[in-house]
Amino acid sequence: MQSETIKLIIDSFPKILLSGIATTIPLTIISFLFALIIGIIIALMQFSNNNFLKGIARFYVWIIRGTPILVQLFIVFYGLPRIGILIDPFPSAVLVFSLNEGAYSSETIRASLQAIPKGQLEAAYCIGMTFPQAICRIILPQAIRIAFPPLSNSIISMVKDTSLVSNITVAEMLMMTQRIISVTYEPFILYLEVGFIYLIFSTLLTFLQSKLEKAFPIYK
Amino acid sequence: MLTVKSLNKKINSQNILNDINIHINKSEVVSIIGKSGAGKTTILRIIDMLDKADSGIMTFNDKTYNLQNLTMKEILKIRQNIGFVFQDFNLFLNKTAIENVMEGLIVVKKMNKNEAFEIAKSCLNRVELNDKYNSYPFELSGGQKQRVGIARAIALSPSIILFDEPTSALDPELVDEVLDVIKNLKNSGMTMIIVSHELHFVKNISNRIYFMENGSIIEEGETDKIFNNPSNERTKEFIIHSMKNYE
Ligand SMILES: Nc1ncnc2c1ncn2[C@@H]1O[C@H](COP(=O)(O)OP(=O)(O)OP(=O)(O)O)[C@@H](O)[C@H]1O
Ligand SMILES: [Mg+2]
Repeated sequence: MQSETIKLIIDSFPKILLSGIATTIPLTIISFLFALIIGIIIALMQFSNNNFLKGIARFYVWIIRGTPILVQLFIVFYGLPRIGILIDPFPSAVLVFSLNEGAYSSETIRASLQAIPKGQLEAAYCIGMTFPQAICRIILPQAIRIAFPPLSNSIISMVKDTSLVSNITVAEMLMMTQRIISVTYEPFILYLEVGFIYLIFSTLLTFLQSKLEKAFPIYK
Repeated sequence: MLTVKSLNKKINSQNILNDINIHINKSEVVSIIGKSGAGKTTILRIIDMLDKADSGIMTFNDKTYNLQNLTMKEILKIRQNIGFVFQDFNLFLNKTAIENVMEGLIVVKKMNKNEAFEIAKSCLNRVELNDKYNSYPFELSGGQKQRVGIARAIALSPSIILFDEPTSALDPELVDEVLDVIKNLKNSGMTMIIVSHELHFVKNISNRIYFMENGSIIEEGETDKIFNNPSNERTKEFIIHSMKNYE
């Protein structure tokens, strides 16, 4: 390899990595935590016997899943200011990713809730528990364990999808890379490099996933 | 102690229960027998508020309830005082044997962990599971699971326990260990309604029996009378037929 190339990599690597640590990772983690909360609430609304709540939940999932996330980002960041709602780039990104992932994870969580045998809820009722108590103590712990592998997969997808927010001026890894390319004219090397950093993040998350999966109690 | 009057239930405009009347006194053991689909499970489920009745009156611990409209508060109160033992156990799969028994004590009776632990231990000992406190349901045999189920029910010191075919899901060699536990409960004065196809056991343990067919109680009476001198032809047939199957 030419020494210039090596120098370019050595110079750019920390910059791109740092933007990943400062932006991509926090964006992913914060959004995912919100998404989990939204996902659980929406899933429980669908799980409930209340048709009104069910309807709202279905409508939300329908809208979010039926539209591209890039369009959602543009609506929030470029569209909302037209009606007087101005949100900074990073919060806009968190908002859209939370809502988006919330819809998808709600489907995962709902499927997991439905996988829990009906007798579990009835047994909880029979010892005098209320619906919320049964959900928190008996149903959700079992559902989360089932939902964990697919949810881990979606957080890994999300790390990669955050590259979309460069479109709304959030200085995450891809945007940082593009900035460096605009002065060095080395797209091949730099895009390879940022791809490699995404790969590191995904690999770390996969590793973490398998560790955490083992931390769940085994009860079949 | 518990009375059910004029209980009716339809599912999809089909009569599942017709004008059911049942009563049970304190420390009495009453069994409900009858063919599959007669409505036995449904009665127990309605008593424990797992299913809703179309009409009916229930008196329990000196309070009278209209089964058509109950408040959530009433439902919770009734359930707390009734133990239910399921055919397929329904142990909490994410909890160990002792946690299964402690759960209601902690969440519903608001006990602290130590208190709940002591009671749970004594309940598990009572069903002879001294060495299985920390086993998860999947690590237990069917008979052991059902005994945890019984321990979970008695832990809350209910006024009555309802058994819905507690041994039907068990391998034959595991049936007796569960039946023995139920016999011990009777000896300690527990009030129980039992639905079972084990007619020898039913004969042995019950004070009184209700015989059901197609959603109606066809005959009721003292155990001796039902088994030895039933007044209804169909009761007789059922008993002769069922006892033969178990010989
Ligand atoms: N959810 C339901 N939908 C439709 N029919 C039902 C439902 N639940 C029960 N039934 C019907 O109600 C009737 C009584 O059922 P139930 O389970 O109480 O009978 P059972 O006497 O307990 O029978 P088994 O001995 O087989 O347990 C049956 O004919 C059954 O098909
Ligand atoms: Mg039944």
